[in-house]
Parts: sequence; C-alpha cells; structure tokens
Amino acid sequence: MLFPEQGLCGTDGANQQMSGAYCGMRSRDNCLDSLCFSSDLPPPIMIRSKTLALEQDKENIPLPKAARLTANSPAAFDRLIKPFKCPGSANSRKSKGEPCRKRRKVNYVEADGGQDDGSGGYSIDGESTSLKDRFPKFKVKDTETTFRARFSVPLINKNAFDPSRPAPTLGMRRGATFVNKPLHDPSGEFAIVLYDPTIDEKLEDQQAGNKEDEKPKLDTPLMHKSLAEILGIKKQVEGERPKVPVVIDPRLAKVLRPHQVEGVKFLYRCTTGLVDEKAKGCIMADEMGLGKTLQCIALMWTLLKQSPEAGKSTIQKCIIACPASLVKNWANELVKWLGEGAITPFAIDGKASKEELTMQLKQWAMASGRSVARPVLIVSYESLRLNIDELKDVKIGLMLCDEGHRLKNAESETYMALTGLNVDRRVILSGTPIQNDLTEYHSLLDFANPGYLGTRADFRKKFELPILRGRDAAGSDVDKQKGQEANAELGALVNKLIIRRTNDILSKYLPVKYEHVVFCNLAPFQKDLYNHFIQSPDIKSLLRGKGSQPLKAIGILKKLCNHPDLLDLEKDLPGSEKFWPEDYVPKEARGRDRDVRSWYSGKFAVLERMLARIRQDTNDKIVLISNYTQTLDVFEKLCRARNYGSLRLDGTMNVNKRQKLVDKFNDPNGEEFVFLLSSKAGGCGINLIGANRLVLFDPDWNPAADQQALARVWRDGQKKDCFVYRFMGTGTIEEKIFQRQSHKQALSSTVVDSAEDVERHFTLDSLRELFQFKPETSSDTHDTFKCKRCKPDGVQQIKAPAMLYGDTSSWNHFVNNGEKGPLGKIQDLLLRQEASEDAVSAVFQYISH
Amino acid sequence: MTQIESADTPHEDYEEMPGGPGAPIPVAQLVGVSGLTDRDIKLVIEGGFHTVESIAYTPRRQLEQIKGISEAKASKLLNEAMKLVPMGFTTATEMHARRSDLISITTGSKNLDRLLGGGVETGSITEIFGEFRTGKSQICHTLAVTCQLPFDMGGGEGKCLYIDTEGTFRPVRLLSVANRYGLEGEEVLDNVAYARAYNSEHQLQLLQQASQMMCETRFSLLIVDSATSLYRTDYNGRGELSSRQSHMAKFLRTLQRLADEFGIAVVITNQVVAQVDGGPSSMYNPDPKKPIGGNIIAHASTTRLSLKKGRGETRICKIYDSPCLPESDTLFAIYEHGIGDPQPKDDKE
Repeated sequence: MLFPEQGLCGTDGANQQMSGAYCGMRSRDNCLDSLCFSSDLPPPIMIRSKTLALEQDKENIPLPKAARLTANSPAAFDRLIKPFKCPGSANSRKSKGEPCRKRRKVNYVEADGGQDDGSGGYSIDGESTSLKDRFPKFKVKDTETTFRARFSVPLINKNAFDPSRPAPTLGMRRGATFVNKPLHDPSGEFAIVLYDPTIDEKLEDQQAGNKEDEKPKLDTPLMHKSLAEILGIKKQVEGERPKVPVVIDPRLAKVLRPHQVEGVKFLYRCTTGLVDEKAKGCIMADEMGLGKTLQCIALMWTLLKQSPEAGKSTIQKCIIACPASLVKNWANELVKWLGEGAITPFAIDGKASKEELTMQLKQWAMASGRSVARPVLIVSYESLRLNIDELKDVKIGLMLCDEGHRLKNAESETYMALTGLNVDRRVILSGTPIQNDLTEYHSLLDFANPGYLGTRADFRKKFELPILRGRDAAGSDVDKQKGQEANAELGALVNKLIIRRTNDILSKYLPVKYEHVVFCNLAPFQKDLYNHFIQSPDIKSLLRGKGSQPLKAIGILKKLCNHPDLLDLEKDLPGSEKFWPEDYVPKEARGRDRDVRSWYSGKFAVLERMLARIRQDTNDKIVLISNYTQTLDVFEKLCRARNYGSLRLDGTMNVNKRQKLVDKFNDPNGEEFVFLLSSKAGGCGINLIGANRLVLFDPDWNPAADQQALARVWRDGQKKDCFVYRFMGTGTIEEKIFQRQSHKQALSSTVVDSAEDVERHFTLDSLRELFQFKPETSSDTHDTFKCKRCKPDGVQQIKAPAMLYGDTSSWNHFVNNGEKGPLGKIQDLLLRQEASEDAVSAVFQYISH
Repeated sequence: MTQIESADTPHEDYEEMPGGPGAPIPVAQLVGVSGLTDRDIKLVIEGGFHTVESIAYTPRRQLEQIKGISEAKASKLLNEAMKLVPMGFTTATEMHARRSDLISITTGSKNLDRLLGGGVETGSITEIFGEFRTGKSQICHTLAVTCQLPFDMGGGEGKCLYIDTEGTFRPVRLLSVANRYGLEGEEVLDNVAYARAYNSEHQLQLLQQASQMMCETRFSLLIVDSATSLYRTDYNGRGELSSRQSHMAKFLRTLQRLADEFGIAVVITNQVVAQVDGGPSSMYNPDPKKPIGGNIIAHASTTRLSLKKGRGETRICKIYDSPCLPESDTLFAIYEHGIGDPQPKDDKE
C-alpha cells in the first residue's frame, strides 16, 4: 500500500500542512465519526495530522518501508488530479466499536504567561453546544432596503417606548431635540400631578412681578460684552419654553397610598421652594410604618428625572445618609419600588477598601450630567463624616437623612460635617423628631434650613423658655398664656415645613394592635434586695446630694428589676446575704447548672408563663427586647432550658448577618419562635413582621428608643393582630422612668402634633422621687394620674372616651384583683391567665382601633 | 434625492432629516446655492462626500482632487459649506452644557460604565486593546446591541455598523444579548450592518460606504474589529512602515470625521505586541505587552482601554488614556448574555 501524501511531504510540506489543518478543522466539528476512510486516503494521514507538531520534525526523513514517490512521478500526479470523492461509501471498516475521537485539548496556558486558572470565558456546556440552534433563523431581507429602513428601537414590548419622542442627538452634535412634553402623561388614569404649571406658575409670576416693581431698572451701557454675546451664541430660547407638569412615575403612583401621595406632594412642594422660597428643607416626621422610605424614594426619583422644564432633571445627585445597618436596606428598597435596573445606587457597605472608596467617591464627585452613572449615594453617617473631604465641593441636589434624629446634637461632629456639604435640599426622616427637648428640635430644623429659625440662643429666648415655663405645672397663668403664644408662633413658622401623620392612618390597613403596659410585682427576693439597696448608706448620701454616682445606682436598680442574676450580689449589694433564699446560689458557684430561676424575678415569672402559653396554644412568634445584653443572656438560657428555638441580634453582630437573621425569623416555616433583640442595636429599621407579639422588658430613658423598638412588629405587611407588652416593675424606678418618658412624649406631642388636650403631668419636684419604692401600690403611675375614671380600689368605672396613644392616662386601666376582676376579662389570653396569679398588679391597655 | 424621499414619515414636525434631529445636512442642500449644479453635487457624492459637514471638515486640497471639480468650484463648495456648519469659537459654558448631555452607550457592565462615566462616549473614538480572549470582541458584540436601546436605558437609539477584519463576528451572540434586554432578535439583527474587510484598502473604502449609509438612516455606533490586524499583514518590515502608518492615519482620520459628522460612537479594537526587546518597564513586568499601531493610533483614539484576563470569566479593564477619566481599573465579566458585572461572591463573614 502506498501513501502518496507522505511522498509529497518532502517536496510540498505546505500542502501537507494544509490537509492537516483541514483534518483538524473537520475533527473540531466532530464530524469524524461520520466519515469513513477509503483506500485512497488511508487513516495514517489522519493520525499524523493529529500529532502534527511531532511529525513536523521528522518531515524530511523518509519512512523506512514507504516507497517514495516524487511529484514528478506520473502515478502521484494522477492521484492528485483525480476529482475528489467522498471517502466513505466504499469503506465501512471503521464503523463501530471504537470510542469517539476526542478533540485534542489546546492548552493556552503557556501562551498566557503561565496564568493557570483552568477556566476561560463563559463556558458552553453540554446543552448549549449548539448555540446557534437555540435561536431561529430569520428570513434574509433585501440589504438595500434594510439598510435604508428607518431605525426603530427593537424592544419586544412596543408599549414601553414612545416612538413620537425625538431621538437624542449624539456626540457633540447640536440639534433641536426639544419637545415640550412631560415625562409622564398628566391626564393618565392614576396620574398624580406634583407640579401643574397652570396653577403654580401664576403664583410665581405674581411674586416675580412684585419683585420687579421694587427694583428700578438700571440702564447702564454695556461696557463689557460677555464672550457669548461676542460670539453671537446667546441663547434665545431661554425662558420661552412653557413649563410642563411634573407627574409621579406611574409605577410608583400605583403603589402609593392616599396619605403617601399627600406626603410626596408635601415633600415636592417644600423641596422645590413652592412653600417657602427661603426654606427648601423639610422634616418628614410620619410615625413608624407609614412608609417614609417609599415617599422619599418617590420624591427622589421625581426630582432626578423631572422638572418643570421638559427633559431636564431638577437634581443630578442625591445622598442618602442613614445608620450603617440600613445602607443595604435602602439599596434593596430602591430596587423593590423602582424595579431592577432603574437606578444604580452607590451603596457604601464597607466592602471596599479605604483607597478604593476614596477613588470611587472622587469619581462620583467628578461626574456630571449624563455621566453620573450612580446618582444616588447611600452612606452611613459615620462613613459620610469620615469621607467628607471628598464630597465637600460637590453640588448635591438632595440629601435624605434617615433616622434623622441622629442630628439632634448640633455640636456633634456628624452634624458639623454634614452641614458643611453643599446641598440644596435636605429632608430629614424621623419617626420621632423630638426626643428630649426643644433645642434638639431646633438643631433638626436648622439643619434642614440653615438660618431659617435664627441662632440657637435666639430660638431659646424666643420659643423654648416660654414654652417650657408654660408647661410646668407650677407655672402661673401668665406663663401659660405666653407659652401658648410662643407655641403658636413656632407652629406658624415650622408647621409648613414638617409633615407628621400618626399611626392612626395606618389602622385602616393594619390589623388591630393591643398595647399593654404590664405592671409586675417584684418577687419577694427582689423586693428584699431593692429595699436593702435604697436604704443603704450610699443611696442616702446620694439623696442628700453628696453621692457621686447616681447613674451607677440607677443602673443597679434597673438590673435588679429585671433579674437578680444580672448583678454580682456580693459586690454590688454588700450585706445582702441575709436575704438570700435557701435555694439561692451565687452565679459563679452554680457550675453547670444552667437553669434560670425565674421565680426570683416577677417579670421573668410572667414572661415564662407567656412563652409556655404561646408555645402550647398558638403558632405566634414573639420578640423580646431589652436594653441589657445581660438580660438577653438570661432569655437565651431560659429558651435553651425550655427547648424553645430562639434567635438573637445584638450590637456584636455584623450588618450582613443581621439581615439574614431577620429573614430567617420572618420565614413562616422557621423553627424559632423567639427573637431576642437588643434595643440599642436593633431599634431602628428592622422589620420583624414574622412575629405578632413583642415584649419590651425594660423601659429606656429615651421614649423614642422605646417607640422605635415597639414599632418593629406592627407595621406594613403584618397580617395578625398584634400584642405588645411593656413590662414595668410595680412601684420601682422603672415606673419613674416610664413617667418621665410620658412627660417627654407629651412635650413632643404638643409641639409636633400640637395636641391640645395632653394633661400636664408633673411638677419639677416630682422628679426627685426616683429612688422611692412603693411596693404596696398596684401602679404608681396610675396613682400620679389621679385618674377620675377609676374607683379608689383601682377598678375602672368609665371606659376611656378616646384613647390617645401618647397619653397613658387615657388608656384602659385594669387592676388585678383575682380571676373575677377586670383583668380576667381582658382580650388577650396571655394576660387573662395572669389574673389567677399575683405577679401582675395592673395593666394599661391601648387598642389601635 | 433619495434620502429626502425616505424621510417621508409622519413625524415631520421636528424631523426634517432622515437621521433624526442632530443629523448632518445632506449635500443636496447645496444645489442651486451660488451656482452649484446638480451635476457638481453628484460628482461630490461620487467623490465620497455625502454631507455638508464632510465638505466643511475637509481641506481644500482634497476637494480639488475630486474628479470633475475645479479649483473654483472647490472653494465655492467649501465657502457654502462653512456657512451652513458652525465651525467658529464657542464658550466653555456651552461646551460644558453639551458635554453634560452627551449620550453614552452602556457596555452592559455597571462597573465598566462607572469607570467610563456612563459608557462608551458618542462622538469620539474609543480604542480597546488586549491580548486574545480578553473580551474585545465580546464588548463589541454587546455594544452592537446596546446602542439600539432607548437612551434612558443607556442606548443611543441608532443602528450599528460593524466592520470585521478577523472573521469573528457571530450574530448568535447578538441574539443572546438582545434576549437580555428584551429586544426583538430579528429587528436587532436587521439593525446591524455588517461588512467583512479583506485588506486595508478595502477597510478604508468601507468607510466611504458607511458615510453614505449614515446619511440615509440613523446610526449610533461604528465598530471596527480589529482596526489594525490587516495593516499588520498588508505591510511588511520597516521599509513599508511609513506608508503603513500614513494609511492608518488616514483611516483613523476618516473615523474621526464620521464621529464628528454624525455624532456616532466609534469603537475600534487593537491587537497587542509583545515587547521582546524590553523597554525600561520590562524589568518589573514579566510579560510586557503593547498595543500596536504606534503613536498614530495612540493619538487618534480619544479613550484607550486596556483589557486583561482575570480569574474565570472576569476581565480587568484599565483606563490607559483619557482626557478626563482618572487612571483606574475595574472588573467586568463575560457571560452568555454579553458583558456584565462579576457575580458577587457570597459574603465572607
């Protein structure tokens, strides 16, 4: 048998290479299997081609047995000019039984400079080998006409694109792309018009007209021509364009509830200066759960995309400042409401390194116009403060300050840093704008509108002092009068810049909320310790004004109210050994005994019975909140001892994990029905709608912190009726704290809510009663109300005519005097069962609707 | 003229030109002005000048070389064209305003868009170079689709012209990218004009045709993948270096003129060469690579991007030269649906 091509090798290497390449190509197509070999083209050629590289070295060495044919030899020539015949039909020799030929692996590793990662590009795996088969073959049209055809955007959904809109000019070309048309149809079915030129412009004209009259025109000859005038490119169109309506994006308008529409309208009018030219900032102070986030997103989206001038935006860049734990949340909300890809936020989530971040911020600061790829910067207050230098000179159209009560302290570095930014419009979002006093309120307003209310000292003289004097129960009538006047004046200035709606609006959409203040008697052991402590020499000297550590003493009392185990009894309460019950073992000596002795604490005893009942009778989930992580430790132990599944979120947990934990808890199929939350870490923004019960185990000095914590459960998305319990140790310091809270909250509601009928609760003297203990009362707070609706034995005679959320004196009051008593008839089964025990002394109840 | 007739659409009120607003003025407008006849205009068009802009932007010497155009005619043409096309000074304010509204075409990757300040700029030449399999052609394929998107989705609302010199154009890739953006596959393919260039002369000649097509309908992107490969083989050795470079310069100049005339984005890819003789940097860089084409191509392209392979499907893009972008780099990735962002790894706790 002769191998003619081999013979050719010597003389015509290129030819052989070509056939080799050809074979290679065919083999790449995996066609070899279908090919059979005729005697004309014997298989060795194919094999040789596969190992071409090896073979090439030997090209010129004749194979020992093969007879050489030169190109000149007639036999070879004959074979070459013979017409091609498909090798195969004649030969079925290589039919089956042999494995498929595998494609030789081409290794690019060497070529790539030794970078070995084993993968390159996207891989076409088994199913997609025939990529071309996955798409249909379209009919080929005439090229000439296709090329000349008018361009239309090839969207599948033709409605998504408005073909009558002119295409933009490309590059630096100039052209009239201007079409005077609003972005969204103002006459659409659900259209919400924020700005209507027919109404709003008239007002502006009037104002402008007034100004014109005041200023006499100066006809000074023009000495210096501007460059634009010299070049003759002064814009003629300016000012001639009629304004167009601004309409909320329909996809947002669909989901906005009526009160939210009102909120967005308010925000828009404030931030665009339609309310007051000088004050473009405002405060969005809706209570928790009313959708502040959504309203602000709607505002931002509108400002970013539209303005009364068609085709232009009002702002280019926006900063959202929020607590670190909410950065991710905001980014998610943007996607949730605006849809995937509508906006790319620049969320600083701490993943980027310092240099990277600085670089990115610089880029962000530099971009303008269309090259702003990420118009929204979401950043925590801390990162913003640290990176303030990069952002100093940027013109920022809008700043949203979520949980803006962080800015209550005008001296804090964050406040100073943020006021240094060049921001046109500031919106503060806060469910609780007044936390402690009016100075803080001033800080917020001054932040939103610098200089609008005058300096701090002015504000204090003009408003704060009169209002406070008027609210003091010992104040004279003149003071009260003055206070009211100052309040009214402040209201007139401020009310147009602040919007606040209470949760009442929500009740239409949410299930009923039962909120209870549960007064728990101290356990005997606690009671002994409590008495022992407040009669100790330390406290006595403290009350005489000599002691130096009132906060420490308060801390000890608060912990004692929760559970004696929170304290190191020997150290914190020296001399208390004589009260120890027989079964008490100090914490360190307990060894491996992990059980929680709930009978040492009144509140724990109640809680334990509650958990057992929930577990036994319902599929509800519950959130336990405390100020102390130590209390959470005890909760955790309790849950472990009783085999209750629990999850815990406190300040030690990193931000990424938090969201996962929350999602796990909210999953209806989750095992865990107890969620332990530290109020400091999880107070703000977290959504725990998987639970419908919540226990606030101890009160915080700051009512806003408690309010925040309480609102985790009763919010949008909640399906079940909610039960909220705030535990108080009867007659203890906790009640005093609670009373002070009511005072602060009443302050907030007179200013912010301008509620008239908040009764005045305290004289300044009563604040000194902090260290008194009244074990015999059923509720000290109730005693201070001098409640007219209840008999002296505490049984409520008249139901509250209207319950005011911020005022517990208007709530339903239940006193616990046995199963037959009023507490035995309360709506909530967990509290009903307490009627037969004596741990709970009284309950205040609030029903949302 | 045909192009005027083809503009016969219902949206006449704002659209006098077939390419839409901002499109250049067809040469036909010059007929009858100061004695220019139909025949003159025809000659000019045959000479490869289809818009008044192209005449205005061309030196007189070149106009005189058009067959049948006398010196007097050339200067007449030029004068009239200059009257129609604004070519004088303007203020920086005006420039800034126009640049702020500059349309950029998204690359599909948010990271990359951020790096480029929105995407590939229209009205200028962007050069992408890198070794093989660094994603040059993949970027081109993705851009060929995204340039057709509405501008609020990051597109340019225009057709794409694709000149391929390496035979790597795969319409299937366009279809999978079209799927990602919810575009009609057939229309997407109809909107891409493809030509294969077989030699460097042909490559230049294709641009003349391109200019004519752009007069007739709206284009937003011109891709040349790759711009230099034919020059690499058509010219050999140092002896032909200067002719190669001057021809390439002419080619790039034509590209720039198209970008100016029509405001389209021009994307060219470039190959790299290993620096075997070792420049000063070779001491630190174990594998030095340089884009070919020398200074000519370096000066002609406005933005130059250098691509490198990263781990797996990720690629690294670095700004190599740009008038305003800071020198920095970013990661992007190549997927079945085109260019995208690297998938975030699971949070490392």
